Amino acid sequence: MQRDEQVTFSVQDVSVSYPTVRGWVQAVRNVDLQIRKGELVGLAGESGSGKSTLVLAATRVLRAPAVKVTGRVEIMGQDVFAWSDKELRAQRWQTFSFVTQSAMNALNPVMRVRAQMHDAMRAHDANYSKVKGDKRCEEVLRIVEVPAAKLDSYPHQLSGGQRQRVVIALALLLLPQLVIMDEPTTALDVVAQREIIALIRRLQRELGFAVLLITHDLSLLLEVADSVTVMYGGRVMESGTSHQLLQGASHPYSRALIHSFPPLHGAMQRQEGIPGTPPDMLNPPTGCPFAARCTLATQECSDSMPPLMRYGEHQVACHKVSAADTQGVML
Amino acid sequence: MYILKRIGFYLSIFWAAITLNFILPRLMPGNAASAIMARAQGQMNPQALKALELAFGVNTSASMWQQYWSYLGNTLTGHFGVSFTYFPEPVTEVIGSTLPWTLFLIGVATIVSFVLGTGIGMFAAWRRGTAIADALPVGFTLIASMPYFWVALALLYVFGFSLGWFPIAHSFNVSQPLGFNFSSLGDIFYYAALPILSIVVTSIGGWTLGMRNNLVSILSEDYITLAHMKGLPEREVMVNYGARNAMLPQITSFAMSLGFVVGGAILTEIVFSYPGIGYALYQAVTNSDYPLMQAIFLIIVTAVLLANLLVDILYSRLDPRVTHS
Amino acid sequence: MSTDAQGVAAHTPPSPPTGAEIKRTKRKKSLPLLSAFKNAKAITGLCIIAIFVLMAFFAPLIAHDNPTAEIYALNQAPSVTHWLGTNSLGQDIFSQIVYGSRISLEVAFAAGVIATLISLVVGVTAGYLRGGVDHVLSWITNLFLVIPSLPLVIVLSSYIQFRGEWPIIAVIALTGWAWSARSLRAQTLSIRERDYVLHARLVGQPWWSVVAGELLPNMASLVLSGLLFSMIGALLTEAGLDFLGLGNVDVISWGTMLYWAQNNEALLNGLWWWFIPPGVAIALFGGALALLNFSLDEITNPRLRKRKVKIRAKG
Repeated sequence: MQRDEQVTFSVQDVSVSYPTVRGWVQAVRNVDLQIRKGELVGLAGESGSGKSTLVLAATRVLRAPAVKVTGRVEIMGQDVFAWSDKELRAQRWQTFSFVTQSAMNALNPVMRVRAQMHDAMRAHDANYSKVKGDKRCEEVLRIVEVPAAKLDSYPHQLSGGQRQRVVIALALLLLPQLVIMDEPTTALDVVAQREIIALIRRLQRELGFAVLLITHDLSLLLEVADSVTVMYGGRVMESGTSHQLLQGASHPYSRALIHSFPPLHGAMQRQEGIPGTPPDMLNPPTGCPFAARCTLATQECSDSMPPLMRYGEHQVACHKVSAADTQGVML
Repeated sequence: MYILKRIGFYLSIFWAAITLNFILPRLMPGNAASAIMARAQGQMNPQALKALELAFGVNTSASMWQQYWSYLGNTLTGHFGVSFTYFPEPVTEVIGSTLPWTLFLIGVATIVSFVLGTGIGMFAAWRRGTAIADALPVGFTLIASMPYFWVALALLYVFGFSLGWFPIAHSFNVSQPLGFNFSSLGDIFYYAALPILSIVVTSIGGWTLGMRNNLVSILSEDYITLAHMKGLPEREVMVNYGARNAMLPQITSFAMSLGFVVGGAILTEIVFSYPGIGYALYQAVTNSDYPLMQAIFLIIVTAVLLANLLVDILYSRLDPRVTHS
Repeated sequence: MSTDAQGVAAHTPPSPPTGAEIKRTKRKKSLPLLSAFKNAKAITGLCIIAIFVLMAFFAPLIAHDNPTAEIYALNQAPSVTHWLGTNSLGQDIFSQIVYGSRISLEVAFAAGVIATLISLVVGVTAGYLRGGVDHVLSWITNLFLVIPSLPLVIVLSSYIQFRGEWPIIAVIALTGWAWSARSLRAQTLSIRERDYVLHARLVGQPWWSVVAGELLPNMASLVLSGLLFSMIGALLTEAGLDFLGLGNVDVISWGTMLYWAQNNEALLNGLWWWFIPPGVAIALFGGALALLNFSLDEITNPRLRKRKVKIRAKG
C-alpha cells in the first residue's frame, strides 16, 4: 500500500459492532480503505455486507453506545475519533458531506429547498450572509442542472431525479474534500441513474473532490470508479483498481456479482443469481463468510478466514486464488 | 380546494345536528312531548306554547315535512323560543349571556394546556433515556385517566374550601358588578383560575403524550439524520426538523379532541357553578327545558365545527403538502 | 464467536454478553404478545385491572357491610370499623366502593366491547369495500367524531329514562365508536393492498374469509388498543353521567357515589372520604387501562420502546 500524502480518507483495520437484544452483531471486521485526493472509490456489496455501517460508524454518525468501533479513521490526515464534539460538528459538511440513500426522505418536508441550504451554510460559515448564501444556492443548483426557481419549492414538489440532484447540490455547498454517497441512484430508473452518475463524475473532475460511492451495483462501479472494494459479511473480499477487477476479478464473490448484472448494452446473456443467504452476523461463521455459498469452497474455507493477500494494488482474500490468477488468467 | 371541501363537510354536519334535534323528541319512547306540554300549560304564554308545539309536533295537523321545514326555518333565523328555566328570558338571550364565559374558560384552558403539553412532550422526546423524560409519560397517563369533574372537585376542595385561596363558585364577585376595568378583569381571572386549572390538569396529559410519540417517530426519519450530518446545532435540528414536523399530527389531534374538551368544560362548569353554557345545559336538562337544551346543543356543535374549520385552515398553512400539490 | 485465523491482524471483536441466545422467531405476530410479559407498564396495568375485577367478583366476601343500608353512624371519618368512613346517609363507603365497582366495570367493559364491535364493522367495511359505501360510512363516522359526545349523551339522556344499565351502555357505545372506526378504516385501506390479501382475493376466497383470515389478525393490536381506549372513555362517560344525576341514581356506582356526595354537600362539610375514594378508584382503573394501552403502543411500535441502548446520532 503506497503511503500517499494526498490521502483524503483512510480507514485502518476498523471493526464495528453493535449490541442488540440478542447479543452483539459484528457488522464490520478488520476493514482497510483508502481514498486519495480526487479519487472516486467504490464500495460494493449486498445489503447487510456492512458497507453502510462501516461508513456511518467511521464518520461518527452512529455513535457509542449504539456502536462500538475499533481501529483508526483519518480524514485529511486527522484522527476522526480524536475530535471533540464541537470540532466534529465544525468539520461536518465542510470537510466531508453525504448524499444519502433515500433522497425521498432526506429533505425536510416542511422547509423550502432554499432554507435547507441556508441552514447548512449558516452553521459553518463565519462570514455567512443571506446574500452570499443565495448566490451560492443558485450556483450549486446550476451545476447539478436544476432550475433556480426550484429553490423556493418544497421537496414534495420536485421529481425524484430533481430531489436527488438537490441532495447532491446540498452536499457540494461548502466544497468539501470528500463526498460520501450511499446508494445515490437506487431509487431512480436506469436512465436517470446513468445521468446522475455521469453528473457526479463530471463535477468531480471539475471541482476535484473525492467520492466514496457505496452501492450494490458492482458493474456500475467498474465503469466509473478509480478503485473498488468489495465487501461481504463485514469483511473485504477483494479490492483493486477497476481496471484490475475488470480484467481479472479473482474472488468468487466478485465474479458472481459482476455476472449477476446485465449491462445496458450488449448481447443477451443468461443471468445468474447467487444462491443462498448472507451470513448471520450475530454468530459470524469461522472462516470465510462466503464459504456457504461459494462454488469453489472446500473445508479449508470454512475453517479459517483467508488472509487478504496483496498483489500490488490488487488485494484478494480467498484461499482458492493464487498470485497468477490475479494477473488476468481465468481460473 | 381543500378548505372548501371542509366547509362543505361542516355544513352537512350542521344540518345533521339540526335534524337530530328535530327527530329525537319524536323518536323517543313514551310521551315525553305531551308530558312536557302538560307541564308547560300553566307556565307559559301562548306564543311560547306555540313554539313548543312546533318543536315537538304536538297538536298540529301539519305533516312531518311541513313541521321540518318550519323548524329548519325557525332555527336558522334564531327563533328558539323561550326558556323554562330562565323564564321569561328567550333562549337566545340565555345563550348570549352564558356563551362568552364558556368561550373564555375553554379558550384560555386549551391554549395553556396545548402550549405546556406540547413543550413538555418535546422535552420528553428530546431527553429520551433520562429518568425524568421517561417518567413523564407514565405520570401524565395516570393524571389523564382521572375524571374531569373529580379533579375539579378535588381542586375545589383543596384550594377553594380548605385553603380558601380561591372562590368556590361563580365567575365573578356578584356584589361587584362587572365593568371595563382592571379590577373586574382581575376578578374574572381570579374566579376562573380553579376551573381553568382543572381543565388544564386533565387535558395536558394527552398533548404531552401525543407530542412525545410524534417527535420520537419523527426522530428516526432520514431528514433528521441528514440534518445531523450537516453539522447543524442540536437545538436547530430539534426545532426546525423535528418539532415542525411533529406539530402536524399534533394539530390534527387538537381538532379531534375539541369534543372532549367541551365535555370536560361542561362538567367543570357544573362543579364550580360557573355560569357558562355547560351549566345552562345542565339546568336545562334537569328541568326538561327542551327549547333551551336543543338550542345549546346546536350552539355547542356549531362552535366545535367552527373551531375545526379554523384548525383546518391553520393546518393547511403549516403543511405545504396540503396546499402546494 | 468467531476466531480469527493467521494472516489477519489479531484484533478480536468484542465478545457478546454471556447468556445471549438466539430466539427462533416464528411469525411476527407471536412476538408482541410475548413481549407484553416483559413490559413493566403492561404488568402493572394488568395487575391493577385484575385486582379490580376480583374485587367486583368477590364483593360480598371483601365488603362485609351492605352498601345501601343506611344504618351506620353518620359522617364518620375512616376508622378501623369503617375503612373509608361513612357518609351523611349512614352508609359504609368502603362497601360502596367495592360493590360500586361492579356497575362501573360492567358498563366500562360492555360499552367498550360494543363500541369496538361497531367500530370494527363500520371501519373495516368502509375500508374494504370503499367507494359509495365508504363515503356514507365515513360521513357517519365523522359525524359522530365531530359532535361532542358528552353533550350528545346528556341530550339523549333527557329523552330516555335510564332504567337498568343497558340503556346507558347502549348510549355510551353509540356515541363512542367513531374514533376507533376511523383508525381501523385507515388500517384496512392499507392492509387491503398488501400482497397476501391481493393473493387471497385473486385466488377466489370469499370476502368474509379474506377479512377474517388475512385482515383481522394483522389488525389485532389496533383493535385491542381501540378496545382499551373505548373502555376508558366509557368509564369516564358513565361516571360523568352518574355524577350529573342523569344515570340510574338508585344504583351504587362510583359515579353515583359522587352524585350523592355532591348533593349532600360533602365538599362543604369537609367529608373528603366520601368523594375522594370514588375518584381515586376511577383514576386507578382508568389509569391501568391507559397504562396497558401505552405499553401496547410501545410493543407494537419499536421506536417508542425504552431501549437499553440509546442511539443518539448527535455531533
